[in-house]
Amino acid sequence: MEGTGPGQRRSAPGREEEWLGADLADGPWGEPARSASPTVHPGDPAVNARVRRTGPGDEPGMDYTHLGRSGLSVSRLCLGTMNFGPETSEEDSHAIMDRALDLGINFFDTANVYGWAKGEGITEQIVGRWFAQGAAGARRQ
Amino acid sequence: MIATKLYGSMSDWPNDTFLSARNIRRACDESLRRLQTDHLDLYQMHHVDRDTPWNEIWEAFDVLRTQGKVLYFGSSNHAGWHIAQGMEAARRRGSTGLVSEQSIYNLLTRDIELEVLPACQGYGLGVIPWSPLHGGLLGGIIRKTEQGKRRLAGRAKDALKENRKAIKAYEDLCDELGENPADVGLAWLLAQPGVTGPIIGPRTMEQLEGSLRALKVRLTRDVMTRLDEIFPGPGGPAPEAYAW
Repeated sequence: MEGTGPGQRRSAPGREEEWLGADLADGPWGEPARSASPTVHPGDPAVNARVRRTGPGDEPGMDYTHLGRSGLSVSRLCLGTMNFGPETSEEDSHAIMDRALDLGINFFDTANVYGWAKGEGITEQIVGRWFAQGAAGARRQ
Repeated sequence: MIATKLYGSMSDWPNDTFLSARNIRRACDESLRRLQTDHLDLYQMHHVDRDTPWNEIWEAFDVLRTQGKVLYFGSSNHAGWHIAQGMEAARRRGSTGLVSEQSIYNLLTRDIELEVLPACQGYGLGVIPWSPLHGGLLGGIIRKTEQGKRRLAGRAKDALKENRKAIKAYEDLCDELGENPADVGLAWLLAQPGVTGPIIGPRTMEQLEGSLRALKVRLTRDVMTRLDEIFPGPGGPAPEAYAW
């Protein structure tokens, strides 16, 4: 919706970008509230987000939105890594991360305890070795 | 961008867990070492730590941010009032606050609509649903088990027993729409106000590729209503869900 809050500040003319603000009060940096959008149909996939349908490469279709009220743009699918190690081999995990990046997913989530061998951080190590191999510039996305 | 979490126990020693200033400093350095990077884009508390004061948490987080080791902070498995308390504590200190909350959220588990989602919308946190298909239960489980393609275990097995009728109705609705249940389950989350995007946890390349379709599924108002009928949830935010 046509907000007056920070949702407007990055709108670039010509880009397919929508801001459909949820009813938000002051944010952590004290921004003014964004306007509510009561008329937005909840089934609209663009609801609540400044959804951008532009992405890198020739893979169409990834959508991006800001992470909460931050300036960080993240893909609307987040790659969870909990199966990397326990269920999925390191080689396959690396291939999945390569492909996720190709598909425009720039949001990878892990945790120090993943891998479930206490103290070892197996999953973080798998992701770390992928970063170390270069991983198509993954760390910059 | 990489997001990781701390809180869980990393040794049998009492300080290698939770959210003390000591563990925040140590856990972050260890994650940076394992991830072979110099900073985390998002650092999340994996669970609420009721025993550590918010001031201690924010002071330790502020140091990490000043050191350039972390850019943004988030919570996970926090109640709505924990988020409010944490954000107010951050505001008093001039700390950065939280940008996200990672909660279990799916058609079968809609508890966060009561307090967590409204708190996140009020404070400007993006909600990142984990277990978006409830361990595969919303991914066409009845059909898959009937065809011998999927064997059930753990969370999904118990939940299927309790929710078989609803899940059958859900799969029938998806058939009617000509969409895969997994895509509809993710599309429903993507359509919820306040949701940044679900966590997909693929075990295989096939699962990863399959999830992309969800971004293209458009659910009409009628379908959203029918999904509410099949999986009612708490009935909206508090207090209207149970009072007026």
